This record gives sequence, structure tokens and C-alpha cells, in this order.
Amino acid sequence: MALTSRRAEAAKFTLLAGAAFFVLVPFWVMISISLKDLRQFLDNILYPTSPFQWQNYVEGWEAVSPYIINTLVVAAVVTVVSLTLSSLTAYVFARYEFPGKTPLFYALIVLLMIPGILNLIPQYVLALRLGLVGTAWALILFYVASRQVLEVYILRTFFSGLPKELFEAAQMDGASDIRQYWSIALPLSKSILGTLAIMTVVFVWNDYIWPLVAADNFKTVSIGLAYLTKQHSTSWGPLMAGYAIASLPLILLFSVTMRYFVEGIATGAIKA
Amino acid sequence: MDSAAHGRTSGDGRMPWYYGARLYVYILPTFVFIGIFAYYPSLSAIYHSFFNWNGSNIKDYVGLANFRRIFLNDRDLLVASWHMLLFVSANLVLQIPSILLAVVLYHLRNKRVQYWFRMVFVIPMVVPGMVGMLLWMFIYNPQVGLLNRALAGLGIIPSPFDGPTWLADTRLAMPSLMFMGFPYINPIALLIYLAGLERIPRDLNDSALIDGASAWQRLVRVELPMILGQVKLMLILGIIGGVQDYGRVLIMTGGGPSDATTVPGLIMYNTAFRYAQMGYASAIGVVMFLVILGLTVLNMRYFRTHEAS
Repeated sequence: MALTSRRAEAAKFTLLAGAAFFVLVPFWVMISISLKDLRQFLDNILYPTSPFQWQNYVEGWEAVSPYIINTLVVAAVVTVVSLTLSSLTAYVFARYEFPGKTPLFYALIVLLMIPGILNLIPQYVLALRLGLVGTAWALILFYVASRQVLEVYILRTFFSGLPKELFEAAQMDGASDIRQYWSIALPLSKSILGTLAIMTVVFVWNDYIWPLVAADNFKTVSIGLAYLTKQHSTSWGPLMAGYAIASLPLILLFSVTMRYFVEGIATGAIKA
Repeated sequence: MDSAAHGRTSGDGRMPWYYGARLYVYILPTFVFIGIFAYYPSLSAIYHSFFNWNGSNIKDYVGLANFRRIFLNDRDLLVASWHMLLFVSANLVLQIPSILLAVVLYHLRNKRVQYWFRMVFVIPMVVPGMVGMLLWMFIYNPQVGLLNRALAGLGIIPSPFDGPTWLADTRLAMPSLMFMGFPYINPIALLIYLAGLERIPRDLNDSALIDGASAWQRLVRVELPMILGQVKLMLILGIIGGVQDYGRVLIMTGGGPSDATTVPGLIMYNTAFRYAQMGYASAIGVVMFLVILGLTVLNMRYFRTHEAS
């Protein structure tokens, strides 16, 4: 019995290790190539060989740093503005009754069902008419609008779950509704606000079609990397170094927040 | 659904009129944003799907002509829809590795090792999607790519240069796109399944063990039912994603070689931004929207009845 269970454990371990190996191979090869010059690259890519070409990272940084800065600016503005507006709206929907509340709320969340593919063309025409195409505003304004839908939906549920006594007590003490939102609702929602912020940053980092259409001159990381890959089809070392550098901000963000992001996914999924 | 108004009433039980008005002011910015940048485009798409429209000066009402063309008279779109079905099927089949891996990982006794494996499997989520795709483009590169180097190393082909050209080969391009991403572990799905499995009550597993249930029986009778809801969610997301996704095709093959990998989304994209037929492209968008909406509604119905039973 003990033997078979040990054998079963070893079999499980082998299977998982095999899967892990194949998951890691592309990233390992990326790091390996990022330290090679062309001759070393043609020779072998499975592991780095000396001399390591550290200057690839200098070249890679020079190529991708403008994209990283562009993306960080957009991500920061979109995250702050959309969460500010959506948290206040969600708070109002969670706490108060007012005429038209239900239709307004449904008008908002029905947008969750509308795929981006329906809106792409009119959004482009609208951005063109407003003179936004090619600028960061084309990204910021449309992202702020679309991110708010999901954020209001999730935050409203969260705010509704907060104990009502807290607000009632503050009410007795004469705290205004804005004050209650700012000093009670927001501080109690740090973790969900953090999770939503990460989701928005990741979304901005990964989105491809809209920036390609609307902001080709203002290159975000996704556009920039695809562009570099087409332009520099033989300088593999600096290119892979660029991929690695462009991945770093998200990796850092996740390594700081992974623990509760994982919990957030797990609990959110169970609720859903 | 919430309890009634939080008694924000003044002494005589009536609120001053401006009290409610303040609430509308708070939610106004959100509605201004979605009104201009979400609602207007959606309505504009539906409206313009009945027009011959180039996005600026040409705009002629054509009734249902765009839709007739979509369903009766567009061979490219037909080919693209077949590719879309292939992508959707691949998406569905490729859910299986995540499920199986989650179950195996759940059964690993050593919790430290389990933790480390979980970290490794989550890495692809942490790396930007574009980097993952570009790395797969490199893997498929016919001259210097990893795949042909590996095949040459194993002696299957004489040298990397003699290997298949993958994404550039008319017959191989579709399967190459469908089956990229080996070993097909979806980090979010894996985390969700693990969370579901962790909720299996201990005594349920113990009693299954005492009954002498085999691993297979436990999988079918205890574990899969436990995560059935999550699996269904992932399947429906896989279908919807497969219907509307064209980023992968746009980046990796541009729909080529020739039209070997086109999908409806890409046809819409090219119709709009290459040929400036914004009206026809809007109509394609509307049809895809209706398909996705249908799938979503079907899914909600299905979930409801399941929960009720």
C-alpha cells in the first residue's frame, strides 16, 4: 500500500514536472537567446554560452523603454480615473434608493454583454472625428469608459456586502455621504480595489487591436513589440532582451500582489 | 435586491428635492463616459450596418443588402467561419489539459511541491500576452525556430532549414495556430479548478477511499461534479473567445498564407481598415455580436436550469 502510493506520488510528480518543463521552455529560451550574439544564436539556443552579450539588454531597453513609459502612463491614468468614478457610482447604487435606479443600473451592466468587436469601427470613426487618433487620449478615454462597466458591477456587489451598521453609525455622527464613501467604504475595499487595478493594468498592457487601430503613433508595449519583431528580424539577441524587459513590469506587479490576486480569483469564481 | 432606502429622511419623513439630485451628480461622470464612448459606438454600429458607408463622406442607405451579402454572397466570410469553427473546437478540446492537471496537482501530497508547481503554471499569466505570442512565432520560425531545431536535433529532419515552414505553409498554418501554446494550461482555469477541488469535503474523499473507489471512479463521481460549474464556465468562455478572437491571427499570419487562416473578425478588420467599407464591416460586427449574445443567453439559461434542479 505504502509502496503503491509512493509510486503514484512519483508518477504525479513526473507528469507535473513534464508539463512544467514545457511551460518554461519558451521563457528559458527567451532568456538564453537574449544573452547571445547572432553567431552564438545560430549555433545553439538551449542555454546561454559565454561570453554573455549583456549589451543586448542595453539595446533592448533603448528600443522598448518608450513603449513601457507610454503604457505605464496610460495604465496609471486609466486605473486612477476609472476606479475613482466607478467606485463613487457603485457606492451610490449600493447604498441609496432613487428614481430610475434599476433601469440605470441595467443600462450600465448590459454593456458587459457587448463584445468589443461590435464597437471597434464606430469607436475608430468617433476617435477620428474628435481628433484623438494617434494620441494617448484615444486609449485613455475609451479605456476609462469600458473599464468602468466591469468595475461598477463588481464594486457594487462588494459595497452591498459591507455591514450597514458602520454607515448608520457614521450617519448618526453627522458624516456626509461623500465622507462615508471616502472614510468607510473605500478603506474597507482596498483589496478589491487593488485587484481591479491590477486587472486594468494587465488589460492595458495586453490590449492589441484598439491601440493598433487608434494609436499607432503612440505605441504601447504590445504594438511596440510586434513592430520591433517585424523591423529587426535578424537581431534576435536584443529582440529577446526587449521581450524580457517588457515583461518585467507585469512580473513585478504580480510578484508583489500575487497572493491576494490568486485568492481573489478563487473566491470570485466560487461566488460566480 | 438591497434592503429599502437607508432612512435618509428628515424629521417629517420627506427628503428635500435636491437630496436625490446630488446622487445623480455623483453617477453622472460614469454615464457621460459610457454614453459617449460605449453606447454611442454600439448604436452607431447597428445604425450603419444598414448603410454603404466609408466612415466619412459616402453614406447611402442600402437596407438589408449588407446582411444579404454576409449570408448569401461572401465566400471569404464562409471560409473564415469554417476556420472559426475549427478554432472554437480546438479551444474546447484544449480545456482538458487544465482540468486533468488541476486534479493531479490537487492530489499531490507534498503541499510545498504543490505550491511551487502552481507558481510555475501561473507564469504564462504574468508574462504579457504579446510576448507569449511572439515567442510562439519564434518557435514556429522555419529557419532558426525552436521547433525545427528540436526536430533536427531528434533526427526527424536533416537540418532546421529542411523542416516544415509551419505558419507559412498553407496546409500547416491552421493546425499551427490551433495547437500553439503547448501544454495548453490556462492559468486562470487552473486556479479556479484548484479552488473548486479544495472545497471537496474531507469525509467525501475519505468515504470514497474506504469504499475502495479507484482514482478514475473518484475523478468521475467526486471531483468532476465538484468543478462542473467552473468547467462549463470555461467552456462557454472558450467558445465566445474563439468566435470573436482575431488578434492571434492578425499578429501571427495576417490571415495567410493567402486566406488559409482568416477568421470573421479579421475579415471585418480588413473590410473596415483596408477597404474602408465601414458599413459592411459594421454589419459583420452586428452579426458576430448577435451570435455572441445568443451564446451568452443560452449559457445563462443553461446555468439557471442547472442550479434549479
